[in-house]
Amino acid sequence: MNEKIKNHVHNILAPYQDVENVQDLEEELSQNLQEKFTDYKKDGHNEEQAYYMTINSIGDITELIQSMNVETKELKQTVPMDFSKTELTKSDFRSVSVYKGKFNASNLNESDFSYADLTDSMFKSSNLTKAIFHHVNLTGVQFKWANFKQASFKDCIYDNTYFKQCNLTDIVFDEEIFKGTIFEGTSLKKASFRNATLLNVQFRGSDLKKSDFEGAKMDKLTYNFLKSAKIDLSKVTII
Amino acid sequence: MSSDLLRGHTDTMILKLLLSGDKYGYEISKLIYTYSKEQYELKEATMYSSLKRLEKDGHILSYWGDAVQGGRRKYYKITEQGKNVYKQNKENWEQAKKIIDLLL
Repeated sequence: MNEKIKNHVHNILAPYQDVENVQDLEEELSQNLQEKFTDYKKDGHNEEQAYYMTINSIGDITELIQSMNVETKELKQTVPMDFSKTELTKSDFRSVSVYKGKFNASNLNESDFSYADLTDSMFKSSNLTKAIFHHVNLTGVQFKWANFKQASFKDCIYDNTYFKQCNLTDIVFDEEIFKGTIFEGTSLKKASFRNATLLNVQFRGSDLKKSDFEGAKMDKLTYNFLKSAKIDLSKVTII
Repeated sequence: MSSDLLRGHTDTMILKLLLSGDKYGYEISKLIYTYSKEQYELKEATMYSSLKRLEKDGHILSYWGDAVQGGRRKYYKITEQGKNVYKQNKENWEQAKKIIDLLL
């Protein structure tokens, strides 16, 4: 049994554990997808292609949940995706779309969000230690009191992303593009923004000690914010 | 082509496939793909919602089969009631097709 498929099915059904017969459905769906995955590989697709084709064929899970024996009242509480207070260590969220998802007080240690679309999701008091954010759409995402120790960011979209009282110490944001991003009361100690582009970015009350902006390009608003925080901006270009 | 029109008939498609014998989920989706000459692929979510609905309404029954490739398959069986529903739906469709052909 491919563990990744099994875990994926488990994760997409995680918010509905209270729904009757959901465990049965999980077993059934995993088994069927497993066979589909094996067939894709037989057709000559490599492991990774076969995995993504299988995952993509699932479709909208909320449609499925609605057809099961659920009181509508119960449903309203579970949709959209709510991963709050769940233990999701090393979870695989790659390529998933979780609009307005809730990850409050969840443990996401070492989780991989690569290529995911997390638009307007909320992470409150989440543990994101060693989490991987590569090519992730973080538009409108709110991170509050989240810990990003040793997390990795690359090629993400940070449009209007909000980091409030987060730990981003030592995080590398080199060459990333920030638009309307807000860092509030957040630790950016020794964070690196080398060659990054920053437009309308705000650093309200954030700790920028020893942060590095060498080679960064930014507009005047962002520049003034940083200047007042006494950051070395000698190697910065204003655009 | 709009898949909504096709999707609206998922229940009847599944009932028809079960007329020729019990089948499990993936088998159903493979047959739909093949019989449609690879033009229609059911999403898992669509197929399972249809299966769950049919089961709830008593048109089909389900039971677990033996383990294969490390897991069990869940099979579906059409009930007498399901057979009647299929016949009725099929007739309705023939009627609707005639009228739509006159109007479109």
